[in-house]
Formats: sequence, C-alpha cells, structure tokens
Amino acid sequence: MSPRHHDPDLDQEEVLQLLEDDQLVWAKEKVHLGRRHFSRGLSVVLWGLRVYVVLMLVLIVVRVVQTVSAGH
Amino acid sequence: MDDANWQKAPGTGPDHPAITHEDLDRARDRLAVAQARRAGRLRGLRVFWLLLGPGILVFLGENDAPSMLSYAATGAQFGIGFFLPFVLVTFLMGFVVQEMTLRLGAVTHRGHAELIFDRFGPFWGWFAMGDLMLGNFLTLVTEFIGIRAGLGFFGVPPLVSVAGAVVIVLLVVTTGRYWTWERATLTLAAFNALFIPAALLSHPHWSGIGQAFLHFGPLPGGISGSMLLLLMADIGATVTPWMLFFQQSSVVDKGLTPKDIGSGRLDALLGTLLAAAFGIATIIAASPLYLHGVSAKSFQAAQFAQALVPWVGHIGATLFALGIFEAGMVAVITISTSSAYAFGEVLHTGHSLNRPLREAWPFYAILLASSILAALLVLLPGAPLEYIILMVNVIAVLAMPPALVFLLLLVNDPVVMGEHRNGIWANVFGGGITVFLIAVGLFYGLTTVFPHLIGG
Repeated sequence: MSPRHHDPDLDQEEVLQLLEDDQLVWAKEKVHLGRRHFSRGLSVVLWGLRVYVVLMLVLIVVRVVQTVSAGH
Repeated sequence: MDDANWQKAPGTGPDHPAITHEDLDRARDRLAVAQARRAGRLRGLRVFWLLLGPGILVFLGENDAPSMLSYAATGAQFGIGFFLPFVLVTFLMGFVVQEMTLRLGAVTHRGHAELIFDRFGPFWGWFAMGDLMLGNFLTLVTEFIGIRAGLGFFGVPPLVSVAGAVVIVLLVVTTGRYWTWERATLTLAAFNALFIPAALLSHPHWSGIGQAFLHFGPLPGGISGSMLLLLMADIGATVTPWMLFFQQSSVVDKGLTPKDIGSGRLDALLGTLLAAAFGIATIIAASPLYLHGVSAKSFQAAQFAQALVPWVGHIGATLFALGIFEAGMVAVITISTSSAYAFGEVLHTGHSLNRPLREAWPFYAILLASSILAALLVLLPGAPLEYIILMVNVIAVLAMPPALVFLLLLVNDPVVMGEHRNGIWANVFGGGITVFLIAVGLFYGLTTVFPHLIGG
C-alpha cells in the first residue's frame, strides 16, 4: 500500500483541507516565530558549552597527533 | 490535474495560498493516511505502515559504518560482558532524544535548523550549523571508508565502490518524491539485519549473553585509554547532532501532524530496538576475536571480516562485510540529506524531497556535493582509517551537549510547542543525558591532558 495507490486528482480546496494551515509552503515562507531573548544565566550556559566544544576539539586534535606520532 | 495548473488556479493570488508541487505531494500522503484511518480491518497496522519511516531511518542510519566498526572493535577488544547492556542503555538515551525531535517536527512543521535560526537568531544558529556540518562531513568520509572496506572484501576496487555509492545516492534522492525516497532507503536499511546471522554463525554463548544483561558486569580490566575511547565511540554511535536535524526535517517532509505523534513514537521505538539488536549482534559477532586473544587494536575496516573467517566462516564474514557496506550506504543517504535539509532551511531555498530537481536544485546540489567531496577524500591514500572512524563518533559526543540544550529549550518553549511541550520526566531524562554527555566529554578531556589518571 502506498500513497500513489490512492492518487486521485486533488483540487485546491482538498489540499487545503488535508494539510494544516502552517504546513503549506506558502505559510512557512510568510510566518516566522519571534526571536527569544536569553536570560543572563542561559547565555552563560550557552557560552560555556561553546567554549567546551572548542576546547574538546583542540584536545581531539592533540590526541590524534599523539597517536599518529607514536605510530611513527 | 496537471501540477502546472496549480500555479494558475483561479483564486490563487497574494491573499490566497499558492499550492506548490511539494504541498500537493504532501497532501496525497495525508489523504492516504486519512483513508487508512477510516479503513475497517487492520486499520492500526495500515496507518502505522504509512507513518513509519523517520524513526526507523534515523536509528538504522546511525547504525552506520563507523558505529558498526566501533561495535566490532568493542566486541573484539573487550568481549560482551559490560558492553551489551551498555549499548542498550545508549540506544534508550537515543530514543528519549529522538522522541522530542519527532514531537518538535510534528507540532511546528519546521526543521531543526529553521527553528534554531528563527527562535535563537543567526549567531547561535550558525554555531549549531558549524557543529552539524563539521560532524556530518567527517562522518560522510567515514561512511565511504566503510563502503570501500565492505566491498573491498569482495575485491571491488576503491574507485568503483565509491563511485557506485555516489550513483546509488543520486538515483535514490532524485525521485522527486519523499515517499519513494523513504521506502527505497528503508529497503536498503533492512540489510542492517545481516549482522544478526553473522552473530549466530559465531556460535554465541547464550548463557554468557544472558548473564551480561542480568548482571551488567564491571568494565573488564578497569578503565583504560582505549576503553574510554570505545565507550565514547559507542555513545556517539547512538546520539549525534545529525540525528536531530534529520529526523525533524524528515518528519516535516513526510507531513506528520500532532495527531501522528503516537505512531511516530512507535516508529522511533521500533527503530531503537532494531538498531540496538543489530549493534549488539555486531559486538557478539566480533567477540570470538576477544575470546581467542586476537589483537584487534590495529584492525582497519576490512580486516574485521577477514579476521572473523575462522570463527564465523566465509558466509559469516561475507555477511559482515555486506553489512558494513549497507551501513555506510544508508548513512551516506541520510546524513547528506540532513545537511541538505539544514542548508535549505537556513538559506530559505526549497528543501523537500517532494520537490523536483529543477525547483530545488540548490538542495540537491548540496546533498550530492557533500557526498562527492567526502567520496573523493576517501580515495586519498595513507589515512589511519580505524582511528579516524573512532574519533568521528567521539566528536559527535562532544558536539551533542549544545545541540541537546537547544533541543530542550525548543521543546519546552510554549510559543513553539503549546500543549505538546515537555513534561517533567522528559526534562529529567533529557537534562540527565545532557549532563552525562558533558561529564563523559570532560573525563575524556582530562585523561587526554593527564593520561596518568588512567592506565593504557
């Protein structure tokens, strides 16, 4: 069973009924959610995580260099 | 009705929604679901058949070449005692995370990247995109390593295997229909089950497997550097940023709505259980190497299949090699699709597999370009392949906490989720997983800077 099995000609009204209002491409292009502002605490958490990711990536590079040079 | 007539339909103007090809295909999918819901016999099964897909695909897509090779390395170096239940726990963590992603997609009808940019702005959005793109590209490279290695077992030259994989991606993604893409990829993903007969051919000790689950034994030999790396790699084999972006976008592309969340959960749970079973089977299949004292530390991808021949026979090794090829192939399709979805959402260009090539060529161009570039890199000689494969999953674990914090913020946001926002238990588990991943990452960092903290 596949959607193509039930593939009737749909008119515009039917498409509008079958899809939710915000499911239409038109609606998604026009309507955007507002920007959320972060509290100071949340900003600190997000910056902390950003620093964490950068530091950890540096450590991964260190680990790879250590391993490769140990192999030689 | 000819699709072209939609653009000219009376009443279509600035004040009326213009129905696109993408809308029309999605409406066809929704009509099939509506008809199945009205059907008499086996109604539940029919609806589930139509709605399953994103959950199974995301988990079997994450059972990719580096993940299966991490499981094989785990079984070969440490046996089954600790890791069988550990892998099950990591998959349950994955389910908790992906359930939130499913809800987010079904309620908002927007992809993950789009929501992050809309709600948190481009500054944080580009950080999230940077993590995703770096992780996705490196992972794609390792998928092609797996494809090359899997087919290399049968003597297929690297250029032929890698180019063939790119052609398969091209054929699957340019069908112009999400449904066709999904079913083709699901069919390919079913071959992840090849690891089950490979495990059975290794004549597993059922009582030992039962003991492993019942007692969750301690780490064999204590914590060492290589053990920690494998722990990180096994966690990275189940929770990664691309999974969030992929599942949410495919839920949106499939057209799921809040009414479908129950079926979506079942889909994700089925994917979780299947992927866990196949991952565990891979550990079991490789465990004879541990039991017979074969050192697998320096094994590269294809060597696992070769090394297993004495214990699983040529058929078992063939299944193992085919499984690695399949794992890489499905992941190339899903991961490159997640990159293309995210870019399309951020750049506000067409980003649906329901769009024909001429309408959404940047979407398809990114999808194919990322695959081709990764494929070309794999053909460069001299890389320490197995180590790269393990490191990719480690990077995935390290990039996950910021992605999880964004996910938790979105899924708790009443403006975004309304009545479908997280309950207390989802937050407890989601927050717990985030803290756990940060702790594991920090421990890994400490042992890198101070290797004397642990042995080996």
